[in-house]
Amino acid sequence: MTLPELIFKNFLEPFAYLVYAIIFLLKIYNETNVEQKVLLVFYVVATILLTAASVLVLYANQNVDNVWMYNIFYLLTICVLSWFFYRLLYGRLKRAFIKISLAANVIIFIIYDIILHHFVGSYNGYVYAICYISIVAYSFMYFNQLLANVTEKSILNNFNFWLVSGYLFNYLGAFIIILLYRTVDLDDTGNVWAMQNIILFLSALITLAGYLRTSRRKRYF
Amino acid sequence: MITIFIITIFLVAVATGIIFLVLIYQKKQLQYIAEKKQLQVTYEKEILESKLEIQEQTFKNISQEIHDNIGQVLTLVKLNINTMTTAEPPALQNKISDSRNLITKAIQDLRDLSKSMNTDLVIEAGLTQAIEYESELIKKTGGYEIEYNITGNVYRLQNQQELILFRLVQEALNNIIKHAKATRIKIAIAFEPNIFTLHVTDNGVGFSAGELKLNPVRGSGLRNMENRAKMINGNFTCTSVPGKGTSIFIALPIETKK
Repeated sequence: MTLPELIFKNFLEPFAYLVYAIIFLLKIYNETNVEQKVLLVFYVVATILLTAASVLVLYANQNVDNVWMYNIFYLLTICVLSWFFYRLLYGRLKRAFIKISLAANVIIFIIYDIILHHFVGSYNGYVYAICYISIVAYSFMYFNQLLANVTEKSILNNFNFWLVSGYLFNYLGAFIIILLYRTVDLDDTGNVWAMQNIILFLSALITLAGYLRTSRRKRYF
Repeated sequence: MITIFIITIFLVAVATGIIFLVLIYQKKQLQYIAEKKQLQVTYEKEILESKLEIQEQTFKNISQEIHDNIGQVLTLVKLNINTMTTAEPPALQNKISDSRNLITKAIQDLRDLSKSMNTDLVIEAGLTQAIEYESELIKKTGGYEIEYNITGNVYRLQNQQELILFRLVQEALNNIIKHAKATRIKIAIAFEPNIFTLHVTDNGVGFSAGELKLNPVRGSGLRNMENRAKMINGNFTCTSVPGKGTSIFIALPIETKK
């Protein structure tokens, strides 16, 4: 495996989460709120978990199973992001949808991963896809809320707009990859996963751009 | 793999498109809000203009009524009293004399009021003269020490500007008389080439923002003054320190007329 391949196929994913973690670390430095603290912890955990997953496959044993780490990671993702969007959105219907969606994701995880024993050694594409599509739906609800309550302030100066745009870009863009990852030829899996990693990295860059823009404006005004 | 690649590109494009659509929609909404606000400002300005026009017309009518009718009647009464004979008993003589003095004072007061209400004074004599006249009236009451300063080369403003500035000064002076419990009033006008400034200060009791909230009428009076100043593109500032007095400052940029 060449160095670019190594980066794109394995380490770009934890690096993207590291970028997210740095953004939230910088945000907490400027202003503290619970959401940012929780997201910081989440992205730090994601960075460690996915770096471990990459290192495990690369150095320990090529045939070692790291999929259980992804199973944990996607459960963690839907729990944390559902909580984040629950705090961000304020319509009763929207909040009810988040509750139902989170409950559905957790139930599916329990049934599929624990009861049906797919937790270890099995790539649960459908479970991940449900997680992804739930986050896409949350993003749409956020945009709907944003456009229904237009203020005189431009949304480009709203950090959450950039963050949610990054989520939409990643979770909608990589949806089909996550869903059909196991159906591609074994030789192509690395390339497909690299594509997913690039989309994730771009979403981190979108959030970083949002952070830089909003923090710069705060400094000036 | 190609299929996944194509669908992924498509989904990425859809996500990007949605983000841009949200941005464009929000931009249009912002434009709409700005236009709505502008319309509201224009509407409020027009309403204020109409109100002021009506007020000025009412002032003019009252002023004319005082001058032509009440003033004439009182003058006639005075003439009648003057023609009364000295053969009246001394007690009645005193009463006649007192009445004559009171009527003279009433005629003078009404004449002052009539002049002060009439727009013509400001238009014909100019803002500085009109303010001087107004300050003289207050000085005559004996309760206030008034300092009136004019700096720079005096120039005329537009009629509407002068009239509104005069009414603002009148309002400020009225507020001082009604609320400030002041002993000294200072009026300063500066005619600079690019800016006209007017400063009315007093040494009265002043007020705090909290007091204004408790007295909404006074608060709305200040807002009204601010709106009037805005109408002539002026900048209105009111500063007050409890126990130290109040200061009203109006700055008017001069663009063409000097």
